[in-house]
Amino acid sequence: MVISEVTVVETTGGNKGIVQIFAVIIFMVSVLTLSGSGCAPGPTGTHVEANPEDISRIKKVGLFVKVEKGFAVRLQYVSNAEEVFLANLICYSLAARSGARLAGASATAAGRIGTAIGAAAAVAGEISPDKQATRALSAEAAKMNSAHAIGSALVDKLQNANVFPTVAIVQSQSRSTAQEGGIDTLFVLTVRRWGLRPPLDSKYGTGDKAMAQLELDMNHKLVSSTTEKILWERDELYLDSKSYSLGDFKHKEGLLGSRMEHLLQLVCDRTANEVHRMR
Amino acid sequence: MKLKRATMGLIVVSAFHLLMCAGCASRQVKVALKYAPTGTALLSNLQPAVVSLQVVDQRPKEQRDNIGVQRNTAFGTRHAAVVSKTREVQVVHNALKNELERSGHRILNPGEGRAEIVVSVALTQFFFDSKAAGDHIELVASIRADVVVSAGIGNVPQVLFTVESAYRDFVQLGLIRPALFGLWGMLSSVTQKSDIEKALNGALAEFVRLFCLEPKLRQVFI
Repeated sequence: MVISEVTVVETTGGNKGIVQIFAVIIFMVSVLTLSGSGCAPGPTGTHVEANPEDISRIKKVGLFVKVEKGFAVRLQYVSNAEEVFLANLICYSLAARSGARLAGASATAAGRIGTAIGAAAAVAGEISPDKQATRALSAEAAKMNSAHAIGSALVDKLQNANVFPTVAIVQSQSRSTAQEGGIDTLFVLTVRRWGLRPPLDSKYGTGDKAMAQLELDMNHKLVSSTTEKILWERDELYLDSKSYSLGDFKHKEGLLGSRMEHLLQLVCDRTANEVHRMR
Repeated sequence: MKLKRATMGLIVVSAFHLLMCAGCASRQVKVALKYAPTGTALLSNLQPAVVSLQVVDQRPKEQRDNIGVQRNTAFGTRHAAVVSKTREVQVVHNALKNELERSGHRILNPGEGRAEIVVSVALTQFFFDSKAAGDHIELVASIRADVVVSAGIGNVPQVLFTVESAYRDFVQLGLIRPALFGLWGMLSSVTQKSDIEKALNGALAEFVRLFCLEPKLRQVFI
């Protein structure tokens, strides 16, 4: 396909065509580089199965919580930064194809259009409904939007469910700190992302009437503090079984916090089920 | 002049394709769903039992016709409805039967003998969707069911619980097609059938795992 483009350029654009060939090559390389540059976590599920002997030896667990991405609303199919990314991709794509087919002037024009649309998309991203909703809910989300808040909520639940003999919150993953506190195993919980998403069986809505459910994407890891061996690792996506309108989340005080509490209870229950099976 | 003609051509082609996409509700992509057990059997440490297993469909009517949406990967428009080659209740029944039998329990055929334990599963959700996430597409599938387990004389209902699995994975946005075919390439890029199958089968495996790890179920078997 690219070769046929090159032939057209050379017969219609003369010297400018050669410049366009390089433009197309640079574009192709940048796109292919971009396509491999993303860093996404692996699929949900168990990555490291536990050895029952290792689990039965656990005496005191240090709970360490990390938050990679804080609260965000993701109700639109393409949200925030992605709009800019896609708009730019379309524009560069248009510019490259137009430029390859026509002379340099047309490529420049398409490039300018691309830049203008890209800039407009950047502005649109700033005022996107998702970003506005995230801001509107930031005060409500703040109560749970930190490693400390999530850790504090979880430690009590883990103690009450008798998942491990003893659980204490730790501030770092350091081996020496853990050993000083008599901790033999670290339970590292990484919140990859949490926030509102459209319920699976609903259409993408707009405004306060858009339906939303709480999601919590989490990585769970049990790590021996003496050997640093990963004893068990699992990725899980927790979806709230109840969904509400975005307006409910904005206007009903405490709703977001109570649904997050519900999901954290689910985290505790499922961890307990996994650990009890391993014993 | 040439620029004007090329631009007009592009607009006409794009508009035509968008119109085509807008009428995609009748298109279907058929997926093959099957439970693939891994590792040790999840219920093998329990007392072997004779089990009657029933799965009924209690999903909303609109979710029974299709089990997901195949979307355009760039713009999120609906491209086709996802349907299963095998009925979803049968898929869930086969998956649970497979795991129970692998764990040493016997599953009765309809009308055969008397069961020590009766497991009734009411399927309330079985769905797949995808969502743009940077230069990736996020695939999410979820299966939810209410379960009643009965045991003993007259198989009196003993426990009630809900199982809800969610599977999430990411695939590359797939920029080769847009790079080669421009805007048209973007318009014609859709979620791959193999990715949809992987997500739904992943949710099925997670569903069986969560079902088997449920303490209320395990206490009935002991």
